Amino acid sequence: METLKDLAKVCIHPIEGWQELFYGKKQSLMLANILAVAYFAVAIIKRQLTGFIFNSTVQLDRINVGFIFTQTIILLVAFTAINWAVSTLFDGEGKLEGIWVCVCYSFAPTIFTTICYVIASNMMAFEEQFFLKGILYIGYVWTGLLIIKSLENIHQYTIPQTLFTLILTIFGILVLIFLFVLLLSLSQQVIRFFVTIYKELSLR
Amino acid sequence: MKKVCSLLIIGTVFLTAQIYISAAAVPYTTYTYNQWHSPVDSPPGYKPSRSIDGISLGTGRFLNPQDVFAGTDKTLYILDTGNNRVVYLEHETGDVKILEKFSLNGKEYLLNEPHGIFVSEDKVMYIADSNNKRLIKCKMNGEITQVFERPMSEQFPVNEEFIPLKVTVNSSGIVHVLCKGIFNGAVMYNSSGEFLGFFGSNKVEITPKLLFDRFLKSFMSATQKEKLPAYIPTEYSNLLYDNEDFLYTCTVSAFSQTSLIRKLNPSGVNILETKAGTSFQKGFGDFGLTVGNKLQRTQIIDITVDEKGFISAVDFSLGKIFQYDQDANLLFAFSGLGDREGLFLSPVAIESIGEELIVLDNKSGRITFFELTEYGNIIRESLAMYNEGLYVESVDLWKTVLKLNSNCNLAYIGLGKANLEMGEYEEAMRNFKIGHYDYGYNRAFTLFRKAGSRSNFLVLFIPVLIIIIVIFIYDLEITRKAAKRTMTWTRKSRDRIFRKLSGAKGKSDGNT
Repeated sequence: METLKDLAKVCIHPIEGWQELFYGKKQSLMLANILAVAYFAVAIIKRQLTGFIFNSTVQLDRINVGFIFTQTIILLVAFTAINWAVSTLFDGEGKLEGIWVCVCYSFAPTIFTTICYVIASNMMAFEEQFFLKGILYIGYVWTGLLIIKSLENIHQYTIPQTLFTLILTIFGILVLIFLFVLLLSLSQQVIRFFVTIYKELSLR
Repeated sequence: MKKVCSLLIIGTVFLTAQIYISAAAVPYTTYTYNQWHSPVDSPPGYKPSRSIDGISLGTGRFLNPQDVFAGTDKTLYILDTGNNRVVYLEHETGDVKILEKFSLNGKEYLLNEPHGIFVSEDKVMYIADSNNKRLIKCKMNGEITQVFERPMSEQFPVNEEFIPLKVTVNSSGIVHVLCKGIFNGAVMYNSSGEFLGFFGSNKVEITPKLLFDRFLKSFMSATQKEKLPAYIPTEYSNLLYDNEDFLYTCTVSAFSQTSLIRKLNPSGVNILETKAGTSFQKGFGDFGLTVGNKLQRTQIIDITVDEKGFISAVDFSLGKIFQYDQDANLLFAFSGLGDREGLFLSPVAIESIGEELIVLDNKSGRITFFELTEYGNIIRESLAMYNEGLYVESVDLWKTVLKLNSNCNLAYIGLGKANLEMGEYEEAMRNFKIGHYDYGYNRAFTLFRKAGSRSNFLVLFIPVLIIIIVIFIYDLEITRKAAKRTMTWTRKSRDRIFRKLSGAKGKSDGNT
């Protein structure tokens, strides 16, 4: 399982790991896809299976899977696409597959720590939530650092450039959401227009 | 085959018909709120037993009656506002008496739309004579002994008129009057008629909107500031003193649902505020009810506290009656607007005599009596024991409650607490989870974990010990291998150096 060893190297020794991964062309698109699906699965598991003490405000029988799908996979896809667009504008050298591999591999720590969180939350009391939340936040921070390092490597940016493009990427995601909502409401109007015409004709 | 089918169909129709028949016995649905603030049906806690009005009592129709009062001797006083009289029913004899003629200093005195009545234990009647702008204190024969008028003090707001609406008196004889438009609280008089000040105003709650408006206000000119809506506390709709001299107040429109009903101690602190915050429902009244497109707010117009300490409140907007215990847990909500017995056109007052609830409807002039059902009785008994801390003794009662209403969260919480006391931690965890009480679940879980890990100590400890030993041995192995590598490297490089040296000197020594 060479690809898993590469993943471990990338997470634990990011400074050399990312360079080795892309220079040696060892990146695996399939592993990236599996990790994205795993992120989605783990998000559902986190919502449903965390211990009752830490999950008492969540209605377990009312899960909106589409919501969670959007928050995980669609977010990853949108981030990749917008980052590719922004980096193209700013002379980045990363390709789309490369960015997708970067983003998905970086989420491996969150997947791992979230599973630890779910298991531990069933065994801890409310007073120990410091450690529990700590596990979760370690995962998030680790992922964040990995994303910054991987993007820096693949686009061949300096750190300030990476951070700048990241901010633009987030802004771009908001623009994307806005455009999507606009598209939705406009298309609703178009459909309503045609449906009204059809109704008029059929009732005459 | 056909016969069997038809028999089955007829059988199920009959079975379902049974259920519908028993539900139709009461003309309303009873419900509570669960942990997600959705209404959950429950069996009826009260059912309407009888109703009386002016015609059935023989006193002539009540015209816009605004208040009822039940004295300590269970006499029911009805304030017939439109006819400016008081009708009272004595409990034992069932006699109906009318008090129409009042005399002040020998001269005849006419009430003018009195809105509130209170009768003390020694049969002294206090009537809030609203349109005459005074509060009168009179004996049972109509002879007025004292008149309370607008206080001369400067504390009383200058532009407001003194229009007393509701009155209540505590055990030391201090009179509290609720006046229209006075939001400083209840106007207090002592027994000799001196004005003592105000008590217990509603608090203005700090919301983000308020802070934003204050921020904008700092940029405004004086004339603009005058036109701003003022953030003043709302006045309340009713007030009453209980046996232990706590003042209960209710408000028609409060800022938050935890302050709709308040219980004030003598310093004016609302005891129910923290209880409502930690109670199951976290608030009074209805949650998230929408009528048409608008959010329907509960407008509590009157409250009463019965002998066992349960607070019943009546909601003016939808005609609902809510009953809470002293910990602000909702027992049930029932009734509504309508024409049938048990429903109201416009409820304005609620009272309790013994275990009965009495609601006054001012549009129909009817007074409806509600009595407890089996379910209502049992849940009140269980809550009384639960609130005294007798968890183990209340187990059987809670189980009966669950048989009647398996949705009752309070029952599961009560059972869970009893389980905790008896040391059954797993059962307690299960009950608390169903009842959705995460604080209790946490405690049961901690105790369960402690007991479980103590009794299974070896099972948990030995694997940990094995892991530690394995890691130790692995560490030793790695160190040994690294040392060997270093040794080999050191030896190899040493040999190389010697070879170079000996090669440079010539192959004479052979010291390898």
